[in-house]
Amino acid sequence: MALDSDDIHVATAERIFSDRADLQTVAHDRDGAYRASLWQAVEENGLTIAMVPEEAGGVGLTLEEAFSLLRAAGRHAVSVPLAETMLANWALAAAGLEIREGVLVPLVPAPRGHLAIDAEGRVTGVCPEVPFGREAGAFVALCDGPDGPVIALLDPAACRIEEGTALSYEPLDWVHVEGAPAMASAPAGTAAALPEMAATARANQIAGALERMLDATVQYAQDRRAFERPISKFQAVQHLLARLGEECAAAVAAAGSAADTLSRGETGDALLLEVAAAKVRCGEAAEAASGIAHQVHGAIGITREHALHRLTLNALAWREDYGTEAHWALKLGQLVSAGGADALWPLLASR
Amino acid sequence: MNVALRFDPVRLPDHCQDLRQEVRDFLREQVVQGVYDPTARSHGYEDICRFAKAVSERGWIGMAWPREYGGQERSFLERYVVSEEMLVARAPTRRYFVADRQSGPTLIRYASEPIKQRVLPQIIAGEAMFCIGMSEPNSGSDLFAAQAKATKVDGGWRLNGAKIWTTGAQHADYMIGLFRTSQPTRENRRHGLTSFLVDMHADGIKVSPIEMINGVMEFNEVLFDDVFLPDENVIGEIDGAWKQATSELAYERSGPERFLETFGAMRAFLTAVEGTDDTRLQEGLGRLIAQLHTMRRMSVSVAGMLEAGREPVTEASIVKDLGTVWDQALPKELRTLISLMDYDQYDVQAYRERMDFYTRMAPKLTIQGGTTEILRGIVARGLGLR
Repeated sequence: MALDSDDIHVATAERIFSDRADLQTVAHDRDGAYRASLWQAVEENGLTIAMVPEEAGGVGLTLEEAFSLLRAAGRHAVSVPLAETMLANWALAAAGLEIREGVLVPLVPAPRGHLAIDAEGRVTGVCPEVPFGREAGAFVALCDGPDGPVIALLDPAACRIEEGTALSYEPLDWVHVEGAPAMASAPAGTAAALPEMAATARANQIAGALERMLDATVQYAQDRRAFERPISKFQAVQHLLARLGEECAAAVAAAGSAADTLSRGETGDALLLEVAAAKVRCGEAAEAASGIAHQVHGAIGITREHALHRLTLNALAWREDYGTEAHWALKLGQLVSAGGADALWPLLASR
Repeated sequence: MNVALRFDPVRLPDHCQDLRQEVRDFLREQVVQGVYDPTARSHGYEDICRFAKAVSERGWIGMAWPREYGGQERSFLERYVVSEEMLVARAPTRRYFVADRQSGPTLIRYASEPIKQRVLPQIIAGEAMFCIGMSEPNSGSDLFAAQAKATKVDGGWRLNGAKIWTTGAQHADYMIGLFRTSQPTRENRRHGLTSFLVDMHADGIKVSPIEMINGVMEFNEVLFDDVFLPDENVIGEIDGAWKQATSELAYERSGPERFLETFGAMRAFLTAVEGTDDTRLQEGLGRLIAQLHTMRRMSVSVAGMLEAGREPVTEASIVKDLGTVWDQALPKELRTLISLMDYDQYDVQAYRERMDFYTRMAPKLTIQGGTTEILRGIVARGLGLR
């Protein structure tokens, strides 16, 4: 079952986010001064190791619980590398490597980059558009190895980082690796599902941002008056808000279903279906919902002082990470077109 | 969070998936035996009667109803599985579908005991086809504008007036119809409507089919000329039918029929592109399947809420709105993709014909069972805006 926000871990996380990174405060903070205190609280409370089993030194939440924690992070448009560090620690533990303190950033090169590790443990390749790349204390890279996928721990000092900026103004950097020696490495094992994990993380963050967008937009429509009544009383506005609610519901359902699938340890076609559906549908919902939210807000959300852009720009930027809608749609379409007309329904109905 | 829209990732339990296999085997056998042709555009009356009997023998009509009326008290999720397998296999369920989905449950909840004892076993036997008498020539979405009248007479009621767009009325044995029994009050314009069980074989009923552009006769106009009904045919409270209406909607609106109506087009498309290496087609296909899968997961989630005894009216309206808008747009989306397909590489022609069939019928999807505009109003209410 999905968790309510009264779940203890989610509640703790929600409290940290609202205390340390209130949406409005963050929107006003040009220098990002809040980020150090937010990160400290996030790390001290074990959120960065939430996905790691207890026996590997983590908190041992189920993946479903951990993803609902990321949905909560999405509700606050949290802009520290929490999802990234969670995923990287999960991958380390899943590959049987030691988890680490500090900011970790996963390198998931597919679909537009490539990383390979040779028999001597040297990594070469490029990973484009890495969220928070420059902030990494270490990279956790999914590489092609001589005998299959490998998880390799890399020192950022041994890599060349080309800085860039995401739609949301967060760091989005290219990481070039030219024969850097891995500080540790191991066959990926279940960590080979890092791309699916990362895409599901982003889907859940988007779903959270949409929940908050819906809340904020409904509230605004009830407060804002025009033509001598709240604009929420106009049918045209009500229908826009209903559409926003529907897109939010679709995102929550799709992201939750993918999280549930990973939590059950499912693999193969079923996992691809669920993750692709989540990333595609949440991406589409992000676009539709952001448009409606800004429209109802009369576009004041594009001013710096209004917090709405924190939600909309992050939701839109998260579409780009770990495979866009088109990337995942293509993977799913390849699976289904190869399987033929008789295989589609049994796959859908297996859930 | 002020607004909570929850769609938990409900999984169908193992016993449901076992049942699914039974249904698939049954349907395959029906096709082999020639009971129905899954490629036919529509099925004749004889065919739908024969099929209903066969389904009844398997115990799959009214399967979730109380045992005292002949049901088996199986779960709502089991019914869901049977229902979606029938849809995907294009099985001719017309004779019992409406009764099984909503008329039966309405009778169980509101009808008089003698009616329940008599009619529910007929439905379960596959021998009672139902239609729904709501829309009138001058009232559709606005149900409370209904003018067809029921007048109290000795021992019963007399019906006069007209219903229209009544699906399946030409073959139906019963209608659950909404009739005006008194005038609305100043305080409550919903007051004054009563729900009746109408025997469609009664004297004074005239049914005229309305032909659609694809040649199918699905809708009808039904005229009532002094039709007599005994008192026991009143369903629920006199003048208070509006209170009964909303709880039915969650059942009517969240089912798989709201996004699987054009599944045949998807299937035909897949047949045409099987094994393709054209990434444009693969990407387009993948996107549609991602959307379809998400809607089905939402629909199953609502089925889980119904099973848990909740009345997810808002959630069901969300599923129907997203589902029917998607279903309606599917032929358009597929058209974009087939325009990329070479005639010498793909069998586009056969597929095209199927797509045209759905394109012609698509406009009705966002009207029947609650229009887009009504649904969005309900969702807005769920968001606290009304």
